[in-house]
Amino acid sequence: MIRPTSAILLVLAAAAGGALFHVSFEVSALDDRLGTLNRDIKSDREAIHVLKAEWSFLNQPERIEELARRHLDLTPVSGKQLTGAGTLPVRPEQDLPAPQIDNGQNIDRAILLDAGAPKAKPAAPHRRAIVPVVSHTAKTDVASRSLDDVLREIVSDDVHAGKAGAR
Amino acid sequence: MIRRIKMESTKKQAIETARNRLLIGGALMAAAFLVVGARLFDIVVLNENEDLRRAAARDIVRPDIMARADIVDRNGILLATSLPTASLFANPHKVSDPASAATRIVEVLPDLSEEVVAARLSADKGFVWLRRNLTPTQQFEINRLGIPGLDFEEEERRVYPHGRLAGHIIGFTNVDNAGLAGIEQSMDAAISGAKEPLKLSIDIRVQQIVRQELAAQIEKFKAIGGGGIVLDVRTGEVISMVSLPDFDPNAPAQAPDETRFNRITLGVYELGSVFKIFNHAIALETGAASMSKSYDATKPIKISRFRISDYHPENRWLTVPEIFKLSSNIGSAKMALDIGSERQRKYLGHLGLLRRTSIELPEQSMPMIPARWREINTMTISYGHGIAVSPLHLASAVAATVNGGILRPATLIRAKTPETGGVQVFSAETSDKMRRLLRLVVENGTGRNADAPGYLVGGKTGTAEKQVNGSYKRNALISSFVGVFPATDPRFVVYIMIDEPKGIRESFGYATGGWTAAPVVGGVIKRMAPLMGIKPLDETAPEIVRALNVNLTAGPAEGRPNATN
Repeated sequence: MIRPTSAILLVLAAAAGGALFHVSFEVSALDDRLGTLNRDIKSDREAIHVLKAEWSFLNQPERIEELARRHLDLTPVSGKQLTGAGTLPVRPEQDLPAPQIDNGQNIDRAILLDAGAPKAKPAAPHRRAIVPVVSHTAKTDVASRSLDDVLREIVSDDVHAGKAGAR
Repeated sequence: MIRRIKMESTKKQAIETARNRLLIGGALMAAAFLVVGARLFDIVVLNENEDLRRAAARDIVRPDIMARADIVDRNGILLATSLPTASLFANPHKVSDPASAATRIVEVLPDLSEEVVAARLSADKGFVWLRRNLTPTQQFEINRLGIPGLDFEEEERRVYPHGRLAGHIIGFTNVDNAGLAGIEQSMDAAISGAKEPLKLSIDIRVQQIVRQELAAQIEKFKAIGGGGIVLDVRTGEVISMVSLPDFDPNAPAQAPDETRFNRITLGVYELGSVFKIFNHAIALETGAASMSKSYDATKPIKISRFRISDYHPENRWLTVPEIFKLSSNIGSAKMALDIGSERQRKYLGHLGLLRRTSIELPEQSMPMIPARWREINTMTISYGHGIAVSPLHLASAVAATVNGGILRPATLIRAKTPETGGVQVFSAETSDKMRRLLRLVVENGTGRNADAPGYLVGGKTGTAEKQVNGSYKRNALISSFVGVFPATDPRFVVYIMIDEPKGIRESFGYATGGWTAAPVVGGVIKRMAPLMGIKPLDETAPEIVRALNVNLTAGPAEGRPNATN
């Protein structure tokens, strides 16, 4: 006849055994998961590394310049387009006389400030600048092209992919 | 009765024995438990266990996956990095059929030779490399062949995303990732094993500008090469360094040797009239000449078998500023005589022109200086002949001349604390005079083509004939221009040299520094100044006119003995 204490001990031992198995399987499963995660982290880091290199590769100034020339209506900033706040002409008010913009030296800046004026675009100051043939029709054309269109053009630009050659 | 007693004693004895044995057994068990307990205590409480530590270490991903640190420019743009690749090796002992294995491998890697692979696979070795740095696709294809005995080693391969743009600066590594040239070699110890990327002082945008402008001009004047350098005069940081022709560091082995030659640091040249900057600065600093002094430049100087003449002879007395503006060799040589050999040598030494530079590149040369510093040497050195230095030497010394007179060693590493240290070579007053003179040359002297409106470019042209086999060649020139801007408070030195330009119709047949190199300097400044955030100045503003004013007329007391024009 089994005594009650022995019975309790037997049950406890069985429970302990069961718990041990459970924990052990759990640990093993977690270990597998850890291994997978570590591998994933490593491959992701490598991928980030490769992508950084590719990003730098795609950002070669020569390539950007060529893309900008083909797809954008911008020219490099020239010294004439930069000025300090101190040299800005006073804003015209009712009680003030007309701003002193026509004394020769400030005329370029004054024109630049007045961006809405029809002659806002200064003659291309840089010799590699695009000749500003942008008439009013061309302007609306450029405006109607969305960023997506431009991006698609750039991405499908296989001339550059071929020129890249490294991948 | 007796038998019972006997029986009792036997029984008692047996019990005694049993108890003793039990005691021994119990003691053994207790000892075993004690050992287990002690071990448990050791593991749980003391916890200093090698295996545990190793197990814990395995669970953490190494934060730095690459053994060699990246190299970035001053704005953090990646210039050199390492990419993970796999390299194919084989254990020939395990390859059963080398011939057929070689055929199949060459199908995947067509650049390998079948005979070589077969020979390697049948070698009596345990390890042979077959091909380093495979692409992931190639690795997959090789794996799919399923040839036993082949295996991959994870490796790194150095790549340079910007290719030839900074090839001479960064250099390259060999297949085992040891630096073989440029920064990769000189900073090898700092790069390998570092976690943080190495930040250079280079600005890749300016580098592109200089390279583009220079390459266009070399093409235009059918020159054999050229070089360009942009230096921050306040810190000595090199913003850009270009030497053409250049090479792609991604494939250095394919590059012809002459493309790997860095004209800026390794080449030493007689740079010509740009040296008049130092001649004038030394003369003004030592008091050998003043701004109002005049020299007789009416006829060439004849000394022993040499003849010093002017390129554009004025045949009259010239004041010190006029000598600079018109780049008179005769006047400069006479000023050098007033300075004297000893003082000239001392100051050139202070300017770092007689020793190696401290730039972080292994490709460097010692300047070529006369063994004996005679009077004729002093005279020719005044206009940049008879002494050969690298363009970097020159740019660094010009920076010291215009920045208030402080020489700061040129560096390619981004400075953490700018504007520290340096050696005072010239007084601030001399530096101020030199800035005026340099501006004068661009405003209405030989360097007009270098002007960039609003940026107050100052500079000096230099045209030197190259020495071939000990004699000067009339049509082989080193044409150069050194520019500083803005002249009122210089920020950058831009030096451009063009090697053997040929005169063209557009330049009226001239191939001098003012026609070839000066436009490049102007073009570079126009494009880089807005990028570097330099505000254009109003050249007609009274304070600027005053700051750059030069009196070209001679003082009453000095100079010519009587007023003859």
